[in-house]
Amino acid sequence: MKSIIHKLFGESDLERLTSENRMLREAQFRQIEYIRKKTNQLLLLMGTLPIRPEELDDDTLIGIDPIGVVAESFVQILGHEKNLNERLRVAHDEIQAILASVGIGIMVLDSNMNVQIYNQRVLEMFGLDEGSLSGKTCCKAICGSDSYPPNCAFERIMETRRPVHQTDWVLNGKHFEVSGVPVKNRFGDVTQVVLAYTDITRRIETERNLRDREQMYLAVFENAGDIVQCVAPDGGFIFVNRAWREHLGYSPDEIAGLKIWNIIAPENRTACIEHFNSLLKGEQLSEVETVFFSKDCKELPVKGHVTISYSNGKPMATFGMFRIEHGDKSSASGQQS
Amino acid sequence: MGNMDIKEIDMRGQICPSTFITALREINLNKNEIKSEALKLVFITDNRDSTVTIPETAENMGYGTTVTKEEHHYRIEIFSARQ
Repeated sequence: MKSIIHKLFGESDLERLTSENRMLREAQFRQIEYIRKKTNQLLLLMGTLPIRPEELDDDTLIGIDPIGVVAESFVQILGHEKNLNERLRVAHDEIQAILASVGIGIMVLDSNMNVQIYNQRVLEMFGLDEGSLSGKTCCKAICGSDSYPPNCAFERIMETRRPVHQTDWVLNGKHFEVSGVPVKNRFGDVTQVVLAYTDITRRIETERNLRDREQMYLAVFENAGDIVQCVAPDGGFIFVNRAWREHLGYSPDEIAGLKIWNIIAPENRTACIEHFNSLLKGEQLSEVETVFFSKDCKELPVKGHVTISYSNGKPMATFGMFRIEHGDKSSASGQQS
Repeated sequence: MGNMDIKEIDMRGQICPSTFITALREINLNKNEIKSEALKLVFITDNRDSTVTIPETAENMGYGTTVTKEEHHYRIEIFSARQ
């Protein structure tokens, strides 16, 4: 063979061909090495092991085209990520719109208490300027303190890793209802805390005013000379005043077990039930005349007015105010005793 | 959703990353059919690493996956994420 080649090409051509062949083999080896190296880089990037030469020989490596396979997969990954980013952007915009539209202040804090997200309502509630929350801890920005304030919802959530609800958190004379929820990672660690604030200062003031007025009216009725009673739909007494107790002779403890029928003289009970039913039907009564029956069996003829109050469309109580007519009248049994 | 074809690829005896490249190649070749819910790929493997790498990458590519342990092998299903 060698002699034939010698005859055809001569000594110099043989050397040239041998040299070219060696160079081609070296070039192919470098190319194969390059493909293996780049393939392994891509596989490593995808979280897998590198390919061992014994696992995939050179010819199969070229045939399978692992760089092409992984590159095509990356195209799909990037396409999916792009789609995912678009959906996240829409979701982010939706969340921002929701945050802006709700009437409550919402803040998202990281596990170091740094403010990450907040809505406009938070700034309005706490009288803060735009941007004054960014890069600050909640306690610094909201409470103006370097440490946790008393009853800090964030501190309790980080301690318990559970949602927290505070019905009345007070800051600078303002009252807030605070709801906090932890956001956990897959290991159960709290990574973020979402806090929702509702300003209830006006509600608290209104409730206090209502309580004050209630006390005032109760004092007026308690000290009125007329008999005043407030009766539940089941006939139990919700409120009676001092005049009522004195005339009918019952102590406050005894009133708890008493029904309206127990203090109406027997012959007046039918009429009284009719009055009661008329009120329940929504009718208005003119002056009511009846006879009360005291604990010591004295008849007390009374005249007065009865109204009814409703709650959520249902009768809540009747309110009656009576004055005693013609003085006390002893009953038959009373006279006998 | 109409009738869905199932293509089963038996990779038993292969280890990762050979199984990984085989799976990616099949997914790439059949991406349109999978996404249109006309095809579901099922890979049969006895290599435990593959039950992590293949589903994880397939999910990053936007596909749905399930892995089931059967008697002597694992069954990895790749399908449209809309299912």
